[in-house]
Amino acid sequence: MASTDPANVIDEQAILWAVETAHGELTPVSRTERDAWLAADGRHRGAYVRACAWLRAIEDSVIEAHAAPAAPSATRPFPLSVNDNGSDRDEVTPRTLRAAFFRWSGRAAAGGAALAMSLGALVAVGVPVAGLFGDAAPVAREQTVTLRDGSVVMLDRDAQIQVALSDNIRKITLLSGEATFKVARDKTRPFVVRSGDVYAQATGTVYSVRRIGLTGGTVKVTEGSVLVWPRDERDQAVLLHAGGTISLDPGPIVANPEPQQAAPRRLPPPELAQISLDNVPVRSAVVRFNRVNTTQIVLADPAIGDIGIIGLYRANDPEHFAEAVAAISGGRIERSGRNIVIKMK
Amino acid sequence: MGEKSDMMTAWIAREIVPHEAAIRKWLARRWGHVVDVDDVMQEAYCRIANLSSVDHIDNPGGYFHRTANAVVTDIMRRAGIINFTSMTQIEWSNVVDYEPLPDRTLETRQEWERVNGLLGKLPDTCRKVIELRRVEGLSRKETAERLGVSENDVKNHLVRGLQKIMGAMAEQDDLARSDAPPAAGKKGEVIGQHRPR
Repeated sequence: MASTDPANVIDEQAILWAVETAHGELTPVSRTERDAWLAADGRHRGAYVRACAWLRAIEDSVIEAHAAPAAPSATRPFPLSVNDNGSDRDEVTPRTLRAAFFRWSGRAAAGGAALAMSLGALVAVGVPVAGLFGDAAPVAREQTVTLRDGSVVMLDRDAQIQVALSDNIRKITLLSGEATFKVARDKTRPFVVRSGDVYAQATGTVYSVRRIGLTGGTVKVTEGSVLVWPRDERDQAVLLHAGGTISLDPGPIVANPEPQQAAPRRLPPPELAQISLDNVPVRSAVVRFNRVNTTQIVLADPAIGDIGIIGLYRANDPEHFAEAVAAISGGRIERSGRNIVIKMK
Repeated sequence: MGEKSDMMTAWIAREIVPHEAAIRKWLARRWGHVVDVDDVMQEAYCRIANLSSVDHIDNPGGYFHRTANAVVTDIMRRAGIINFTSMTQIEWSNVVDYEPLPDRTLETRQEWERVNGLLGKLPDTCRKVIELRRVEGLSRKETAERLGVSENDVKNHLVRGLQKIMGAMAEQDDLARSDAPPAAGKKGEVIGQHRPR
């Protein structure tokens, strides 16, 4: 059963199979051969999984590197690294980049993708810009900036922000790149960072925001908690706690695009948003899950909706949440198509 | 590959692979004289791939570390080496950490940077193949035509690229191993190469 091959021989073989599986056209014969090899030894399986994962990591990084330098140049919207010759490129690249983005968001921030689809139009065009840096000279280069309110902003190399501090609100617009904010506590003046059409608000906390494309942003919380919402949906904001990350991209507003902005620049990091419930009625919690997931939770018995629920749940995992609800209500869950139905026993 | 194993591969690529270099280094320094790091890695990946769900893992780096440690423990147990647990236990208490600390993000980022450093060694042709295949979405045949090589060459470029990256990472822990005190070296060779079970 167990193989006596040395580890490096196994690794070599595993790499061959990983490439063949991901990039070859596996014939039924070679598929059988592969499966037999995998079945022969746990170390074969381990080496194979490892090779597949590394291949995947390498591919992801190539895809990301390909998307990354695509930022602020309007004349040359995409990095041309393979061949510059075809007009097909211009049409192929944006499509596939977008596909790559959805591949990520589909897996990781399903919430973001679902939200993007459900969003309606409008709002928030032209936040008035004033203050520290003025309109004409957004900050460039990697640096740390202390704002007049005492907040500290760490800007990544290609990050650009605009700051507007007033008596009742502190507004930061992230034009590109990524910036980390160490927010001075001031309850009377909410600190709101806008990335495209995504907003993140905090009082005293540390968090970073990264721009995604025209309208999106990734918010990553290091300390404290941050409210994140797209466009005018503040009442439906997601509360992110320390360690949490969310990527949202509401997509362009059809009637009113922002033409001066460049293409999607970075794929969102694949971490998950969480939904925090502090003794919230199940009914309203279900609404929040259903907003961000294609899998819909249905309460068969309205009485379940009145029960209060506490806890931190992954936003893209309605199943676990439904199980928790079933557990506290003494009910059971049943799947029907895309729906999860929670019934009383 | 099924939907699930594909998701699993994606998860491992994202959450486990970035930590491999660090875990290898730790293994080589701590256990390099007793076990074969490659063996431990294969076994650890196998265990992780066998998980039916990864939802319960909040700290993949820590989980990977624990898994590797459990593999070492099992190998030693099979080899009949006793009286090692107390040592690991002490070290363990310094490492295990279930809390998402504020600097966790930073640490993950550093791991990623290390991986990205490795990825800089990716040969250009291999990078082109991946771009054509994954960014432009060409088939293997189309990729071969675009690059003017045979389909088999396309595969070979990928194989070589993958070998190079994974080999470069393994070299890093060879360096770490040569730093390790040579005291227990003799005994370690025997156990490592004969692969006790």
